[in-house]
Amino acid sequence: MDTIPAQNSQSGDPNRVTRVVAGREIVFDGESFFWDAEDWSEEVAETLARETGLHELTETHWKVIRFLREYYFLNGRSPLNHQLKTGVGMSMLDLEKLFPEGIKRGARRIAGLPNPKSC
Amino acid sequence: MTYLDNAATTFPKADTVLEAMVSTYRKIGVSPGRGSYDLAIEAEDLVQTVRRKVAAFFGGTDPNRVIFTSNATDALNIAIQGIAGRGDHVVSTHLEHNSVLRPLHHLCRKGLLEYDLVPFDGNGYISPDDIAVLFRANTRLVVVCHAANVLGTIQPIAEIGRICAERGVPLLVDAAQSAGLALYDRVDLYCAQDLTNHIGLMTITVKGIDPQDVGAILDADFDIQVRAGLHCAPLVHQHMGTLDMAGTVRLSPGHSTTSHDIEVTIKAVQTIATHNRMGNA
Repeated sequence: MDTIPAQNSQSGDPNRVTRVVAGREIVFDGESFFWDAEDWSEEVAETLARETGLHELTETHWKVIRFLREYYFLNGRSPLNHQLKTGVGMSMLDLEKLFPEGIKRGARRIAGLPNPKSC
Repeated sequence: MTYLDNAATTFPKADTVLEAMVSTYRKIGVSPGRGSYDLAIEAEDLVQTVRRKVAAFFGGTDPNRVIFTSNATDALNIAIQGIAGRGDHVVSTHLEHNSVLRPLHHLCRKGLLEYDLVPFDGNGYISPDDIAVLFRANTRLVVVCHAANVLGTIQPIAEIGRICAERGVPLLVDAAQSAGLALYDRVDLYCAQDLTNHIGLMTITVKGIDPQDVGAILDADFDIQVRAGLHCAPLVHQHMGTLDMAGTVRLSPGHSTTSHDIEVTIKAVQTIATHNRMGNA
């Protein structure tokens, strides 16, 4: 079994949900984004991808995921839209199609990046 | 570049605005009215001139009652926290921006006041009658946006103003989206004259795509800048049913937007919608 159902943390904060994914205990926010990008692993990414209906991560998917993570750890933030487009070498339209849940909830979440919150 | 986020802030700023700002700071950027030297007096004259112009624009009678704040959020916080006090009741609406909802929520949580929010109808309008029935003996303030920042609908502010005036309750109008677009009557301060009852703003969703992704695609693939998300007005999305889908995409043209910009944007949105359907087929 890859995942264990989510549980709210001891504080009961709905924005801090602990779940075991691929053997790792990970804290997610209320929209299932990682609180800590360090909690990520390739096995976790594969499990999260399967949950979205993506049963196999191809080399193209991994190229996107690796770019997102490398950029994040190098710059301390996620890439801007134009940087992402240039970095992965495909249009945002194609990137949207590549992940069943799109760019934000698909690629970014599977890559383990924190929630790009906006109001 | 097609900038369609003027509801957040105007861009590009008009050249006349930029030139006036630079010129003012370069020539008389001193503390107005505090010194007796010529520059200080000139600066004070300018401030008073602007006060008179703003008062005339909004139909006010006393320029000295015009105050300047950093932004609309700042102004609304000052007005709400300055007027409503301990034990008071406030009436507002589900259309409001967080700059109204948050201070009300904060003051309520501290036990200082109570407030009620009026829902809007299926077309995005508040009924003045719905406000009237909520008045209590301790109602101290009514807060209503003139034009809703998500829907663009212009509210019947003149009628709401009359209801408030009859009861002697101040009406605080958030005109962040309407000042300069919807007309104000010089006699009736809050009387919108726009016959369409709608400012130039619209919100959309593209089925199957997160609004943030639509915004990102428009930005990187089409060089079109829009606002995606909840637009700081979560209750509007709760009512529209767009809260769980992370909001909407807002297109808000401004003084520099051309019809070509709008045509390009329509085509871009059509492309995104079609591309997505093909992808899901």
